[in-house]
Amino acid sequence: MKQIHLLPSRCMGCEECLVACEKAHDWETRGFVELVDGYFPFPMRCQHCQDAPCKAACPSEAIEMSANGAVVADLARCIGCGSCVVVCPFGVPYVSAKTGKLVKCDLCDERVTQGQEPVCVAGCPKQALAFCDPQEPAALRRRQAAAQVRATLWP
Amino acid sequence: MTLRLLAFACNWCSSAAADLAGTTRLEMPADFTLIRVMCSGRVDPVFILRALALGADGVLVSGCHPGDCHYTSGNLEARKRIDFLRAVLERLGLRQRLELHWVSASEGQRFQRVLTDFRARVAQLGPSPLQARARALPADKREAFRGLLVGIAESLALDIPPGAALPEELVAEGFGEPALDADKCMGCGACHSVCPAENIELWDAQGLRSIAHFHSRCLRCDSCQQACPQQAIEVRSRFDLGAFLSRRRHQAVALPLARCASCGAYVAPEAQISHLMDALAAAGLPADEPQLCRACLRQAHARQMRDHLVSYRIPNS
Repeated sequence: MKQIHLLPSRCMGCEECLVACEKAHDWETRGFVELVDGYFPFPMRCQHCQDAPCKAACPSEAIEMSANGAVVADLARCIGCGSCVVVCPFGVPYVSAKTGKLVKCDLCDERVTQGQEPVCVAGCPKQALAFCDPQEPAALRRRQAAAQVRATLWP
Repeated sequence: MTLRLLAFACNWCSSAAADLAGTTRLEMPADFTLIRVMCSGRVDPVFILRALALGADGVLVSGCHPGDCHYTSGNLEARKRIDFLRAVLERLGLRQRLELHWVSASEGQRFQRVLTDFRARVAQLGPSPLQARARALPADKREAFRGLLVGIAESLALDIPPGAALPEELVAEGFGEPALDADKCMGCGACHSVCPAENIELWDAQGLRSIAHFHSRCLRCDSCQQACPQQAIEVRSRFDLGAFLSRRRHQAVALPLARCASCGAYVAPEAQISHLMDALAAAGLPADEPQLCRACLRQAHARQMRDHLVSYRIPNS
């Protein structure tokens, strides 16, 4: 199952992913880019936990696991109580002041079902976000490590 | 003495009765303005209040006999509404200036009698104590209703204290109040999020989460009652003119809030956190009370990742 992977050293903190997310979702961004010590940018977004605390805490059973492995919210059932906001260990979802409903990443469920990437991944100019299987980044790192070894042995 | 009287007549009965009274050359009071409406149920309390606020001495609504309504039950709706409005006008001393009568299409003579008798009763009351004052009405019907009542109470120099509610069977549809059980409420604010009238207010200050509501805005839609995860809200029909006219909000609960250990911002009410921890424990998930607010949580995770990457120096560029 494909997930969004972060390559933090590529992220330059331009927040283009957030702009793409806002554009696609009624001008309410569903992720954040955190700056550590003022210069280390790190994109924070919903991790789509397998045993999601937000799903367990929701009193109206509005949060479900989709076929794409995303933790998605059914806004018709959402009552805006903020239970998911309190229990999220990553501090990402929030209740919209505009609609009184949960604002939460759904991994662009419709786009993914159509075989496209989520908008934030498509919007990243530095490919710091990758939408791929969990094995792929490991394979990439193996190839890169091998290339480094090769460069050291045969400069 | 010339009075300014207004009669709303249903198209299917009373309006025809007025025609019949005319063609049979019955003598009619001359100071009535007749407005034909498609049903007595079309006559909104706002129309009547506006007429009274503009200085009408009396307003008569005339519809079909019960059971004869062209639209099945419009006249019964009109009766409910006008009974309610008459009870409200009682507090303002204008109750006798509004009447509802049933006149069928064949009752030309009855129509003439109803008008003449009503005119005599209003003539006995004398001219309206209200000065005609035209003012712009808000587009929102509830606000218009409230604004007209406030205007009438002001020009009569009446000070109506809250506390005297109408009997519940008289209260029209759409007027109510959410009764919040402070013992059950955990302060999550779902009621505030779902209320379509923005009637339920919620604010965090001085270490307390407060929830309050206004009497004038509640539409009695029961959204908050259905949403409340604690079943702490019961919406009841209620109309208290004093509370309806005042802009004062009624505070229902004030619950202590937990603070972020890092920045001191409010996280959530303590009652909600302990309730959620029980829910997480029941689902077999780790139930550690959140120590940080959302922003500090994200920052802490980003810092953890930075330290992790710096220590391992993963080559991935």
